[in-house]
Amino acid sequence: MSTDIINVQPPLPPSALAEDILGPGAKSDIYTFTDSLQTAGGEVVQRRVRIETWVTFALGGETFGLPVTHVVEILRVSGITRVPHAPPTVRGMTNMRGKVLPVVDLRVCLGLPPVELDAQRRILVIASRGRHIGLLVDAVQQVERIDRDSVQPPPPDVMTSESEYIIGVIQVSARLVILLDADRVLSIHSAAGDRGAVSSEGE
Amino acid sequence: MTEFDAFLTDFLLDAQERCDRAEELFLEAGACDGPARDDAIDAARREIHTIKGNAGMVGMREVQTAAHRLEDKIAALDAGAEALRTILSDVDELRAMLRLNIDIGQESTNGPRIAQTLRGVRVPFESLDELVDLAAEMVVFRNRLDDAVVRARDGSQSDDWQRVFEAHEALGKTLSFVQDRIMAIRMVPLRTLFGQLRRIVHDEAESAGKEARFVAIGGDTPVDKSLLECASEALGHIVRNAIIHGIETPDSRRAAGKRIEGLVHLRAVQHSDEVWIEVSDDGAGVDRDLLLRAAESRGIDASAFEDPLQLIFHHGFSTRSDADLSSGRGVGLSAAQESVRRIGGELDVSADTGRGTLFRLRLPLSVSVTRALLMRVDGEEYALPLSAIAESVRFSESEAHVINGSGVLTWRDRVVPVLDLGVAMGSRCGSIRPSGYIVVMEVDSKNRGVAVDDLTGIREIVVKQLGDVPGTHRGIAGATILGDGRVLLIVDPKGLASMSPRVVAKPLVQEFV
Repeated sequence: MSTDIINVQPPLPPSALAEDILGPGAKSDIYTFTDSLQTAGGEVVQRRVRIETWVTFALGGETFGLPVTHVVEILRVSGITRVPHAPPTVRGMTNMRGKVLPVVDLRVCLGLPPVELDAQRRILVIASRGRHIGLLVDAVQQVERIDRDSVQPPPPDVMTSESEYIIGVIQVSARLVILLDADRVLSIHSAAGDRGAVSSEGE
Repeated sequence: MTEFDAFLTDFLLDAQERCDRAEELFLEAGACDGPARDDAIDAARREIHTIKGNAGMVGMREVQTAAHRLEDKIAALDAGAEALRTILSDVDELRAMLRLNIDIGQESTNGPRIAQTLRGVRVPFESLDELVDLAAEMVVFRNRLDDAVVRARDGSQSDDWQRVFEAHEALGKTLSFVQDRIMAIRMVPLRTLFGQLRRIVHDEAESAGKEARFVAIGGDTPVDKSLLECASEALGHIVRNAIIHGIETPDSRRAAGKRIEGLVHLRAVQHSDEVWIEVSDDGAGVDRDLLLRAAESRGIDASAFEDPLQLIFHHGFSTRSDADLSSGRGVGLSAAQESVRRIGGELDVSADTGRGTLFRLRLPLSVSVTRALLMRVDGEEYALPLSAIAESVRFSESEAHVINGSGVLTWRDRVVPVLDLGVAMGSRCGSIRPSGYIVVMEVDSKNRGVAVDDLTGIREIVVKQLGDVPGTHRGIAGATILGDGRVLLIVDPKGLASMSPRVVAKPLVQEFV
């Protein structure tokens, strides 16, 4: 298909607010249309194209993406309180307008070393079935429209235990974007799963 | 209090309520015209008339005369807005007169401050507070008795013990009912605030030469009275702000093609255990450039704010160069936000230039507030409920000992096991810190020391459940959010006491810093 519909939205600065990126309009996240292609033989083939909107962000020098449907909000990092006895992927918790939001370090999830917090870093708040979780990323980049059919599976020889979050990869304007499975990230960090003994029961 | 005093008090409170109602009716009258206006004015006149009659009955000649004069004025009221304004200040005068009498009555009887309830018996709010505290204390004793009864009964087949056990259980149930009911009495409908907000809108609009109407919906939501005071303060600031900075002058509204009369709209909705209140106005919104310029001239670093709009919550920020009676000092909204956060709520704002401003206030319906000691450990801060603390002592290396790998302290001639909080929370491994403070807890009538670096204060905190935060939460009871927005963990005394005070045997590996 033609690539001109990719990146129809102008790139947003990394500091763009959640409201800018996730404002009305951007939420029309998925649309489909029929594309006509002419093959070498002169034959016209029709194809249903499914366009989805993804938020892209930087993590350890690579570009990753999450579906905009799952991203509720993008927060600046303003103090993360460490939670003792939490899995290593849990960076801590932060204050999201009076609510306690768990923050998962996506670097650690993907096998990258954790780094110090700086002004570029953002928390992507994702939600599913009433649960909210914050994902700490290096920097938020932009909103991309991607063609679902152009997503390729990740090369098998780079897959490790950390790649269970990865749906696939896609080439967007000469960059490789690694697409993540938001539901997978959420379900792995469900609080119910790993809370064994009640804290007051002792050793 | 003699019977007559009680009678007098009843009259004064009733008269005050009637003044409030009359005031609301006058404001309503100002917002409409035709028969509706006449009806409202007539209803207000009847309230004043009743005050006059009752004042005569209790022999308060002064109040009677004032009410009579006011009634005459109302009867002669013409259609002008100016007339309504003078009537309102007359109502204020009457109210001040009543308040003076209440104050005098209080001094003479030395009685508690009298609170208002809508219907039924009037109960001083202080007695409700006392009841809440007493009930909470009873719950503590019941819990203590729980253990004792279960332990004493253990293995015993005696009928006496069975009866004790059953009676204890029944008492416990009744006690939680009592606690619930007391909390329910403290709940008042949100609409009790609307009158004063309407008044603020009216008065501010008038002094600013603007026209504005206040519309409120969702007043049935019950809110704990103690939270209502905080809500009242915050909403007062918001509404005042809407008139002073939001709603434009009639001329600019006409030029912008808007209705001359600005609208301040309050909408309250209950969301599970919270009430969400939105206050919107259809004014000019907020000019972010103006905010940035004002920040610069006040030497505030605006780049620290993700949206310049947040500047309005910054202490000492104001777009005005002169402070007048109602605004311009730049403390209102920041103080409001802080007090809202303290009770576990949140206040934020959004605005569109030219289209108005929207404030969102989220408040819990009731509070679970605990007094807690804040402690610093290895650069982190934790809160420990005061109810579990027996004493805090300063210590240095020579006073804390390690026996068989466990920390101990000699306290009141007893040897108390000491747990290092840093070790328990995984920020330190190896040994008890050499100096600092040991907080001696009393849990299930056993003592346990907790070693920390420093004590940083005592605070009323709102307990929040950790809920979605993954982990075992060992030794943690929940979290709280401080006035400055920081999230703090609350230590669970019981959980902590059940941890081994051994510091050398099993170091906890810290995954990352």
